[in-house]
Amino acid sequence: MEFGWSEPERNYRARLRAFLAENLPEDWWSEYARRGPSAPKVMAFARGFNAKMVETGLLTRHWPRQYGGEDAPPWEHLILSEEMWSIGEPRSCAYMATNFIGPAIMAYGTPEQKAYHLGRIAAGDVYWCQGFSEPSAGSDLASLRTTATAADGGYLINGSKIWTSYAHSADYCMLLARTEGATRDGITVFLLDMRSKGVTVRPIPGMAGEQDFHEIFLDDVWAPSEARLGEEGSGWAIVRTALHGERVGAARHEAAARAVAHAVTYLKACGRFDEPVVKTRAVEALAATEAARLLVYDVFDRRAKNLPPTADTSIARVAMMLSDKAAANFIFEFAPEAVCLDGDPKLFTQVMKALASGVAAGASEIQLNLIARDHLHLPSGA
Amino acid sequence: MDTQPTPEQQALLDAVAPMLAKAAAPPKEGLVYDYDQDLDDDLVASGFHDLARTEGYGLADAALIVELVSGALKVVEAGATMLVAPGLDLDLPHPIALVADARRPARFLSVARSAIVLDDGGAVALELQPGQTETADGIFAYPMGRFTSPVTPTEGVRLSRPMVRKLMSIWRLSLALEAAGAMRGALDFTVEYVKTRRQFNRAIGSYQALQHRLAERTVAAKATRLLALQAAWSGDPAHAALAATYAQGAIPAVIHDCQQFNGANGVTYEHPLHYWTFRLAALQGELGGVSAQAQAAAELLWGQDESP
Ligand SMILES: Cc1cc2nc3c(=O)[nH]c(=O)nc-3n(C[C@H](O)[C@H](O)[C@H](O)COP(=O)(O)OP(=O)(O)OC[C@H]3O[C@@H](n4cnc5c(N)ncnc54)[C@H](O)[C@@H]3O)c2cc1C
Repeated sequence: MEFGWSEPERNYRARLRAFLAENLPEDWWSEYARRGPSAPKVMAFARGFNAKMVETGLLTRHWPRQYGGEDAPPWEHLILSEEMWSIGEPRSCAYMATNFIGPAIMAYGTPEQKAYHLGRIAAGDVYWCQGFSEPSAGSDLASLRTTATAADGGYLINGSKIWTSYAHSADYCMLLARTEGATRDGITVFLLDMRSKGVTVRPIPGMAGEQDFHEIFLDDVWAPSEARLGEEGSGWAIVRTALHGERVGAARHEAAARAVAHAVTYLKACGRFDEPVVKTRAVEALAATEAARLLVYDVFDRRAKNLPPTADTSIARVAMMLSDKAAANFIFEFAPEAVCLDGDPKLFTQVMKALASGVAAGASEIQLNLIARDHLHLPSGA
Repeated sequence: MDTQPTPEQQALLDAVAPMLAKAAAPPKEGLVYDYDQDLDDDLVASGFHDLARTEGYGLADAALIVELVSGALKVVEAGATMLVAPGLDLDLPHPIALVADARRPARFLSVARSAIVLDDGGAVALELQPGQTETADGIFAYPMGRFTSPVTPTEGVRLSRPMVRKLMSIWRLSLALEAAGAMRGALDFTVEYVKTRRQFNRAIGSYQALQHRLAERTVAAKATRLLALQAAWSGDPAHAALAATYAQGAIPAVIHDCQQFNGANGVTYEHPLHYWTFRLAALQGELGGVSAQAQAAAELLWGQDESP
């Protein structure tokens, strides 16, 4: 049992902070971070930013050496996520590709797919989106209806996707489509070129970030067989692995903790931190973020020891959601003026991030179902 | 970073587990909760009380044991003896009662042979004389006691200011560990109960309304344990105050849900749930309760003045 960082880990964090200090513009919070990582302005900025991360070897350090990484341990990957997410994710959607899309290709891709995609992802100049959810398939993802039927040495894909973040600028989509039947066994993953004929992207105005949500319409989109990841029908297994890590892929605990600390600084500056009730609520919010932090660390601990993931991931995810809400509620209660558009961009960003925290990457009630089933072993209703 | 016990720590936990298994449901008369002398003797005999002061071990190792013991059905005093006394380097006869207000009942005071008592001037540590304390019946599922006469400021050894600060920190650590153990005990018991109790031709544990609440309480119980263990590992008073804040904040919902899901059984003395829930209820108000811990944490984290 050890709750401290090793010297290399501390150095790595310091290196990341120095990198950020050097490479973020002065108006980063007010002009970029506040808009969310999917805002066109941030996505444009991220191209240059990611190139610099590549130059300094920071983008895919956690990847295996054979794919251009440095085999950095999972703890360093967590530190990277903490430092990036808590300042508004300047990598934009590149974090999805380096966190789980790239690794899914490493695990399931053909030599050609690896050769083609991994280098591009590691170079930071290709954008990916994640096409899972559909209008009638949210939490019940396995009920998705988009179809891929064999045609001309490939597949014809028809259907639609919704809530797809980053779709407006994405080059590729990790897409789920049904190659047969109506169950999870008929789901297949495609690495779809977003410039394919028949792909239409429509933005949906949302609150979680500028231009975050999109609908993707797929009308007779032809994809070559080489775009299929893994076997037909293996999609569910691939996605389960991908999503498992992703539930704690964004270090929300760190962002929430920093938001509480910043709110305290803000309230002190306004002379409003002396009331005992304000102090009490601030610490309660911070305690929620620290609870989430340790539960997330518990998940990474297993990963670092090469143990298979458990329902602990869902436990950590629920705690993360609670920490996001606790920080946001503290801000709403004691610094409401700070969340006006001309208010404090750090506090504004936190309350907006917290909005979607219980829905994105798997709704929290689904996480509670998983905890009940896989951790408490409670019986099913049937 | 490593959130799991080391193999050596696990060996210690494995050595304590059989002692706890021996501790069956304690007989109880009226509202006096018995002290488990057998378990206490086992812990003394195996040297666990001195663990934190044993070469090669420290407070973090002792903390793991305190948390484990606090989940048992039967109750012994462990936190003050295994954490507070070694942390302050005090030699006090076991059991030790921690008394926040000498005019009010305190946990373990009826069976304690020594006490650390907070007062206006800070804190005093004293050995107790026969007749100096008496049993204070109540619902708190600890042997509760009170002083039979006022504690005079000249009794015992007065702790220095830095020692008082340390005392508060380890006291908070201990209460968080004890709460983590009791939450675990109450939840484990309740989860098993809802798997077997059937209504409407289904195990009640199959209802999502119950599942979600038990899952949420599990999140809180696991977090309480990790926060407390982190505080033990770091020795940081801010960590201890945060852990205690979180623990005391989480207690009411754990009590409520466990009480609720055990139905009327949970409102009887024959059903053991109350051993954990009434202990949690006692811990909920220890040292002034959640807002007192939170304000102490706020001072430690963001304050100018030296914190209590
Ligand atoms: C900011 C944001 C970004 C997103 N980005 C993407 C993306 O890039 N790509 C992508 O594919 N998707 C994305 N999503 C979609 C996300 O994965 C889904 O919103 C999520 O899976 C929930 O689906 P839903 O919105 O259809 O809600 P529903 O599934 O309709 O759920 C609504 C409510 O019902 C509850 N519920 C549903 N089923 C059960 C059950 N069995 N038991 C108990 N409660 C239940 C849910 O917990 C929830 O509270 C994003 C969502 C958000 C908010």
